[in-house]
Amino acid sequence: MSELKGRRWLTGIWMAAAVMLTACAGPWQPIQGDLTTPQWSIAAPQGWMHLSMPESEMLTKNGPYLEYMLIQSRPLEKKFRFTKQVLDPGMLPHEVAQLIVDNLSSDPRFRSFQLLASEPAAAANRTGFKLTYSHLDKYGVAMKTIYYGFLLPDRFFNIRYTAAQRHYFEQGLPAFNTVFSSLQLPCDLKS
Amino acid sequence: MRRRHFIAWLLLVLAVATSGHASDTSIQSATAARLWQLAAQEQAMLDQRGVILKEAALCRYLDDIVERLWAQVPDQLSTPRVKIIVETRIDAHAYPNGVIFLSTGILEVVENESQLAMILAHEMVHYASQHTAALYNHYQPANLHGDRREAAEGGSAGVVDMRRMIDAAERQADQEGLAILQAAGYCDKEVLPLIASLENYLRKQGYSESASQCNKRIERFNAMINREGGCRPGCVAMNTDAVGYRGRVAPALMANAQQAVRGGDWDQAHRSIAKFLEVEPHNARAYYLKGEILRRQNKSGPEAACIDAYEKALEVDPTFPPTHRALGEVHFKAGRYQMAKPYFEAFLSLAPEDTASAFITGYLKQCLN
Repeated sequence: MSELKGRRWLTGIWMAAAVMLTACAGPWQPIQGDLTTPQWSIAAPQGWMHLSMPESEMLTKNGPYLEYMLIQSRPLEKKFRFTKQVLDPGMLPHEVAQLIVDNLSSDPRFRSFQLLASEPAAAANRTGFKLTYSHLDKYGVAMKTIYYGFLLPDRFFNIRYTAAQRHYFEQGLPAFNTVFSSLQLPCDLKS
Repeated sequence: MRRRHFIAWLLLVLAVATSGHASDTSIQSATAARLWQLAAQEQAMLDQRGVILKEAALCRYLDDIVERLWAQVPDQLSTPRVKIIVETRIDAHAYPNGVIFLSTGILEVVENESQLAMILAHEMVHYASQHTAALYNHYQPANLHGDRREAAEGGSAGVVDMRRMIDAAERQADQEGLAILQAAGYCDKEVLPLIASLENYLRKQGYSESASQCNKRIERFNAMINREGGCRPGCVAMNTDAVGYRGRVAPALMANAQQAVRGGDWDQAHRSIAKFLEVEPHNARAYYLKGEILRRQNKSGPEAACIDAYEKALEVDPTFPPTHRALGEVHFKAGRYQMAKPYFEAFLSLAPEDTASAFITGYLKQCLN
């Protein structure tokens, strides 16, 4: 009897977990045409999959452990995971870049984090920054990332491409460059 | 992978537990070899994360204390080695292969060499007695299976048993650690303020259960010290000099301040840099960091305080590039382009290869327009 009760209880947990998981993020979908959200739009690479999350969109071709693009538009006041520093609309691009580096380098899952370059860059006609960095993931695989970011009046926009340095980074880079150059924000879309 | 996590968990438990019973420290050599291999892997991961503080003078200082203490330990194991993790939280733990990790946080909370020696002596006893290995051996999969069955039946004998082993290991480390400390000529009276400092820290961090266990440790230490008769007067001046100690561990204070800035922990950053400046009042990097703390903490607040700190840094070392960059940025953001210009120019001439130089070149162009 108690075993039956235990099974019902376990089934309940599984059902709740399934509901919660599907509420937070839908399943991976094949990309068809452009990807457009209220905050941005890109020409998505064909043959890739995408996963929609509340404030971001993830794209991958061979699986997110091998390569992914992440496009994120987050409220300025939203807290970062590994630093209590906060973004401010008056920050210079270099200061925003430093905060992002501080957050990334404080991530305990990142091993051998190495900032390869930090430079000014424009994305969707906005002045911002470009970071290039490498790290070892939790399985010890060497990963490389290109990360663009800029401030909007009330949001922080970023688009990044992360892939295993061996083979996958170079393979997916042209697709990322195409996505990056197609990026448009709402006021660009209106015009 | 799971085993590696289990080791980390055992070390954590040994590092934070404070109360209990006797343990069997004998382990089979195959198990010990496996455990040492896992320990080496864990340490390699920490190295890869780049969190090990490599300050030669500080490492030598810690090695000297370890040698002085280890000379009192009648053991055939090799001399322990100390590594410092850049971590503002307090932490100290010994791996079964003799590597003792101290966090920069605990080096900051400790007030003198005698207190530090007590922490090291305590960890040495864990190593010499192979406490982690004994726990690991006791909780091999077969034993864990038994515990799970007991737990499923509603009992918690496994948990209680483990708690007893940990408590016993902690009591042994306290008692024998104190004896080592005394034999090495350190001041044992310093153990009481040490535990009080740890209690205070734990309470502030919200670990009220661990903090209250510190009280029991203070009672135990009090009884042991009174029984033993206290430290010799000659030892006191040499090993309880707070300023001398802080000077020795100054790199750890700087590392704490830098890590606290990265993490946006402004209170910790202020505390660490203030302690650093007490012992190194002519350090440009420290004043620069103080300016950074004030600027980043209070983005829209008055600039005067951070400008003062930056200018002090320039007084100490006019060739320290980050200060020029920071002062340029403060004036640039306030629209004082003519004031920003010479600082940006100085920064670019002093550090043309800096990762920020491309940004500063851009800001400088805007100053010139």
